[in-house]
Amino acid sequence: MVLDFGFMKSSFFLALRGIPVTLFITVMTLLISIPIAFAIAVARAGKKRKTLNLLFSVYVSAVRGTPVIVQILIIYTMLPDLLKFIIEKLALPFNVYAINNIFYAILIFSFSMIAFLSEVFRAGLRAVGRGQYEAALAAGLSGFRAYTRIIAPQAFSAVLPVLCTSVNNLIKTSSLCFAIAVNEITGIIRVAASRNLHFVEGFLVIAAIYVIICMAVELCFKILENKAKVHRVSA
Amino acid sequence: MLELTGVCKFFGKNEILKGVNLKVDSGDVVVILGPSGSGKTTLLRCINFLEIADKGTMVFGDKTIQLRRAKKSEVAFVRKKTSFVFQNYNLFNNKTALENVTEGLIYGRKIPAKEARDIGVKALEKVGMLDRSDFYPSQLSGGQQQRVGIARAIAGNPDVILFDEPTSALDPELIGEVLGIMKKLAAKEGTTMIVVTHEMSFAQSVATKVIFMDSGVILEEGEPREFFVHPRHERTKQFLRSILYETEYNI
Amino acid sequence: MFRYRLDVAWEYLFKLLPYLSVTLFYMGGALTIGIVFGAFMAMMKLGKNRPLKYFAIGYTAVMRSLPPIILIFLVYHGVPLAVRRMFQVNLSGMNTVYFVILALGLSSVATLSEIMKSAYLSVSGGQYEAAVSNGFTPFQAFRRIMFPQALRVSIPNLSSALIILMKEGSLGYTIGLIDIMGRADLLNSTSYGNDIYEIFFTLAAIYWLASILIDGGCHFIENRLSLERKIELNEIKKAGMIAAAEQGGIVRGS
Repeated sequence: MVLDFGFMKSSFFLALRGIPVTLFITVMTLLISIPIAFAIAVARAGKKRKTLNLLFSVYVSAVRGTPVIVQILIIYTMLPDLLKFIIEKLALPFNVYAINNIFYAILIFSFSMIAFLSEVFRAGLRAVGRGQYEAALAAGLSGFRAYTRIIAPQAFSAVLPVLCTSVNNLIKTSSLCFAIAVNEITGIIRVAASRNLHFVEGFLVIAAIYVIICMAVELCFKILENKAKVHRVSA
Repeated sequence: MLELTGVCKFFGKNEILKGVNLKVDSGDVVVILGPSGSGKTTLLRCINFLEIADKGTMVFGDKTIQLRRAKKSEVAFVRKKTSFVFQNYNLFNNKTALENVTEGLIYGRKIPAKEARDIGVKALEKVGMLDRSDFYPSQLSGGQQQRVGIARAIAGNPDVILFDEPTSALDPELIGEVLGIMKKLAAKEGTTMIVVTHEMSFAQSVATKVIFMDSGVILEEGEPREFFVHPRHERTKQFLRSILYETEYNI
Repeated sequence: MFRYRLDVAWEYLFKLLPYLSVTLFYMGGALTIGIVFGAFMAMMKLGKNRPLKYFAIGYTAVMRSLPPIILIFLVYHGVPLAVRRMFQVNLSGMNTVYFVILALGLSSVATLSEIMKSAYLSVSGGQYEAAVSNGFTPFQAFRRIMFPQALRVSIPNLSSALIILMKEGSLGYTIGLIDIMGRADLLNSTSYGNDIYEIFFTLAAIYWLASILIDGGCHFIENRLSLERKIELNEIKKAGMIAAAEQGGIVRGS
């Protein structure tokens, strides 16, 4: 099988330019999603909020049940119209069409990440157990402090493996934003390969890059997990 | 020092506490006995508002508090003056033994860190856990964890310490070390304690007052000698008989 | 702002639904490949043969890190190339759906092998030991004791895997597959983007409903297989036999 290795080498260096974009999207999405998802998980952990719980269940079910590409297309079409509407109503001097697609991508991915992460954190909070919270209250800590100093750290340690999977899923999903013309790894190579039709080489390079990135993330999480082993939740 | 009147608590349709009155004086060691489901743990948890009673009044020191409508400041007041030792220890898993003791001091009682550390060290010394002060709960045995739990409780210098079946989750060999510390606290330090337990030896030797609860009411209370030798109620006699049979049955 | 005309949406519903069969086809195909080869891969992971074990673990790790769209592109462009070079066979006439099935199958082999491995491990080894100590052959022990329990345990994961398969397959439209997603894309371009909301919201609704049905179906199966149900059925059977005996009838199968 004859592969054009020269093209592979050149497209590899080309693709490197897309890595910062991927990382930027991933990091920004996580920065937005993790706090919001955690807040939702805490809110749902309280006992008497039936309507809130129902609303979020529907939201999570919708995100879980629809393909990401459909979410991308719908939100990408809807959001500018929505923004234009708000801007016109408030008469802000803002050009909707000047917004870089990257920010739409971040918003869209946050939309689905928040759903997944809220479920992850809910499981984590359940794993920590009510006893820890009661002990904190009995020792005089306020509810807020109890959460920030005792509950949240343990919930995080407990969900690290699943969190790793979620982050990797985010990285893989980010490959889809070539559909909205974002210049990340997949988009760059697709354009390059369409010129000389050496698709296979190009995609092999992309595949290799994603595998390396994901494995690096897994390694980081393994290190974190080892550090957190001491905080193991006791039965 | 602490007096509860007319405490009632419903869980759904079940009336768990049916009008309980309790009086505790400074230096008292009150032991609450009773079959499971009698409401003894619930009563204890109502005192520091881990459960909110449906009816009842608490007089603590010079404050009178309505249990059902207690304000945040009143709850905080009670929690500052009491400490709780849990059946499952409930040590903060992500903190070392010393940090477990100092957390409540620094963030709950607003004591500066250095002072808190000194208090914590002294407390751990009293329970014999000073050499493991930077161990995490997952590295300690059950008995050791509970000792840290007690250190956490005494560090805050509370008026009353509430013990919820502190030895029920321990292996038999480890029960002795925890009971020993509790006895020392009662005898040497004169700590006021309310203890829910099944450990008869503790009740007989350390308690100043023994209370028997059944089905949400206090059936009998009195000094240990009177209680164990001349119980008045038939139900109390029944309960004591079954407990004593247990201790005689050790094959 | 944007309008969603229900009558138009209703029309599109019926324009899209027929193509659901394509989606179901590749879901079933990929699932079959995944289960059959996934079982082998699970055995490789659990077995003692080092090279096979490392291969299985490496394969799973790579598939776990590979975006599905890249896999689809690779299969679509790479497989015909490889086949042409090696077997001199021209695949240009092959229906796109088979490429999608192959791509999804390759990825689902990895996921399903993980599911099966962990399900097998979660059934305690003590069960197997008890079985073979009491007269079962290893094969019987597996078939009658380990497998049913492992199956029961893995159903929630299987339903998730199936839903993920459905969502990943939607990406087939990028290589020209006409399933519901592909059809929606086509309809959208033919309507010049006018009916975009009607089309894609309806599409999303179809997917959402499908995912709920898959989840519900798996729940139902789980219930029927559950131990509680077995105990229930046992009680019912016993009550039936007692009632029959009291009537003086002959008790069957006691």
